[in-house]
Amino acid sequence: MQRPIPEATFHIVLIGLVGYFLMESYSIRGSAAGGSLSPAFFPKAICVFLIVLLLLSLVRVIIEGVSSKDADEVRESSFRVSVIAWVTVLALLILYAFLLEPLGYVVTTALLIFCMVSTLVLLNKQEQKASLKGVAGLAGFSILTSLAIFILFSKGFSIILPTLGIAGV
Amino acid sequence: MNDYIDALGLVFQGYVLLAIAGGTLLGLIMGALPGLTAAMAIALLLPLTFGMPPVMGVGMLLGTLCGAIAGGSVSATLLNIPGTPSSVATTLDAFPMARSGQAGRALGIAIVASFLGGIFSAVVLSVLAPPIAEFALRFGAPEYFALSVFGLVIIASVSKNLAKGLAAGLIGLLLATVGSDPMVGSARFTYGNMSLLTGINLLPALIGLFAVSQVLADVVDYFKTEKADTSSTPVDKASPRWIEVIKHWKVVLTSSVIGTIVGAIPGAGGSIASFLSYDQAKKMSKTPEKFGKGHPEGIIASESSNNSLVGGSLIPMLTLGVPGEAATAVLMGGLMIQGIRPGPTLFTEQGAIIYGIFIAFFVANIFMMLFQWFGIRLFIKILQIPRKLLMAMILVFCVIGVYAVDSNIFNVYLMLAFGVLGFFLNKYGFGTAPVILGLILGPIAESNLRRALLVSGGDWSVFVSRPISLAFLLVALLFLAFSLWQNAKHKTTSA
Repeated sequence: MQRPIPEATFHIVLIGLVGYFLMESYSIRGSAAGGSLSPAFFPKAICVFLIVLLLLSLVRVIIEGVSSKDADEVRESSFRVSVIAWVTVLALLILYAFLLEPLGYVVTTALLIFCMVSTLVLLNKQEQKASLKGVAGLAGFSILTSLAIFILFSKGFSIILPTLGIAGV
Repeated sequence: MNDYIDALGLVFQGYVLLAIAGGTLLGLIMGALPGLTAAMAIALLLPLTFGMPPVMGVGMLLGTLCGAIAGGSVSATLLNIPGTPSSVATTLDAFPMARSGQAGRALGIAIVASFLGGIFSAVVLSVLAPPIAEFALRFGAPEYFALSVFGLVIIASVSKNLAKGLAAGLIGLLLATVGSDPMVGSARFTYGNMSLLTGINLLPALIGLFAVSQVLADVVDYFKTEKADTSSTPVDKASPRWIEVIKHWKVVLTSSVIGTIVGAIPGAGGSIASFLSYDQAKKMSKTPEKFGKGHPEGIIASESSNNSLVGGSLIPMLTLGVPGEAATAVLMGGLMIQGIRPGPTLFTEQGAIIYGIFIAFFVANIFMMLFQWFGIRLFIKILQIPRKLLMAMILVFCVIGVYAVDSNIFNVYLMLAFGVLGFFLNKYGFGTAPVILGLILGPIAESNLRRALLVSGGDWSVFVSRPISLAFLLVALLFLAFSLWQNAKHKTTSA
């Protein structure tokens, strides 16, 4: 068992969320008719079963974590870097979703590709050091790719994508 | 017969064939790239099928599934990294053969074995599915509820930890209750959000759970793995090795039968089929000592079985509406988005469409063979695309696909939420396939449970007094007991 604490935390978060759903299910309106079940029955039953299963799983995680000789997580140097990268990529995605409609598809997509690839390159020791040529190449790739995808989907598949309203993109 | 003639007319149209070919090609490309699963490939292509007629859209997705499974053999052969989990057994002989300077031969054998396995399962699907669907027409509300329980239990019991597998299935069921209640229309967990009134949109859930979560996992792995050397294995001419494969027809046949049967059992999965077939081929072989050292029979066994698995897995999905594993669950989601609800009534109400799907599956297998034959150089080039660019591109496609549903940014946030949930569920061994199955089966289970109790006047014995319903519940119980026993055995041996 390499990671009892994060896994136990995930279980606790899930139990908390399901508990919240269980509480909310008491406010579902509608009654049972003719021997059938009320609209709240199914969510309530699922929540109860789910909490029991998650508690069982949590107990197992804790027991295995305590009894394991390797309970101390091996902190490789790459672990911290990968966590930073993971959080950065997720933050970029949320920002991307937030800016997609105000800034239009082409601009935000080009920015996402550029920022995401840059993050991965800068954090990876195996990658070569960033050069001006590399940055220019990546910027060009990001702009061309987002433009190509925009044209393919909006013209080819008639999918409406958000635009800035300047020159059709 | 009339349905088959109508179906031929539906499939053999220029645009439909083009869509199937496009889906197969994209599936092959995605399957060839390590880390991109068949489920992810289908989820990514789903948005493209929105405006298409049903047979065209489903044909494209079927092509993607066939292509993704077959494409897994490319990286298995050249890099010793299986493109998909079902091609793990292929690496055992294909890579040693490639290292000895016969990469083209290994790929040629894989092409023919994949094709024959796929065609075999297409025949079995066409022959077996209609009678199974006819039998399933006898099902009433109690049987459908029991079937949903059976499907969920089976897919959950495949998880390494039964409690986690079941919990994942229940998370899916819980999320399926979001929206209007199916019987009386009461709003549940909508919090005044209009986008949630019709329930959680399946597409953001599918793309989030299978594509975004995978990219997030790849971001973590990106810093752990050394860069793969894609140029170290030279490839000679990769033309199909018909004679070499047909010479081992017994291996092809046995492996195809195993693959189809394993595929038809919900929850069994591709890697099980290919390892079972590999083991069987080794037992049947006159030269078992050559296995693992670049023996053609090993490649044939693995590739025939993993491709025949596709047709097998379509049998329970199309006839009963129970997808057996992740890729079929995503495909079922695609069918539902197309307005096709898999199940026995599909055969009576939309015969031409269902037979069209069968024919499209045959056609996809033919395209799969042709593309692998002529496009092998392209797939090798694709293996050299830098991983960082690929991850960014996949995320861009995820967003565009989800946004395209109804130009609603809420779906993008929903997809990201499912992506994060899927990442942690996979990381801690819960799995995402039971979640999606719970989401799909939730409304079926709930409405049939309540309908059955309404008809029986609240008498719960209705589920055990009818033989088919009782049989499903008993088999589900048996699977649960078996999984518990396996878990306990595993715990004892590892202690």
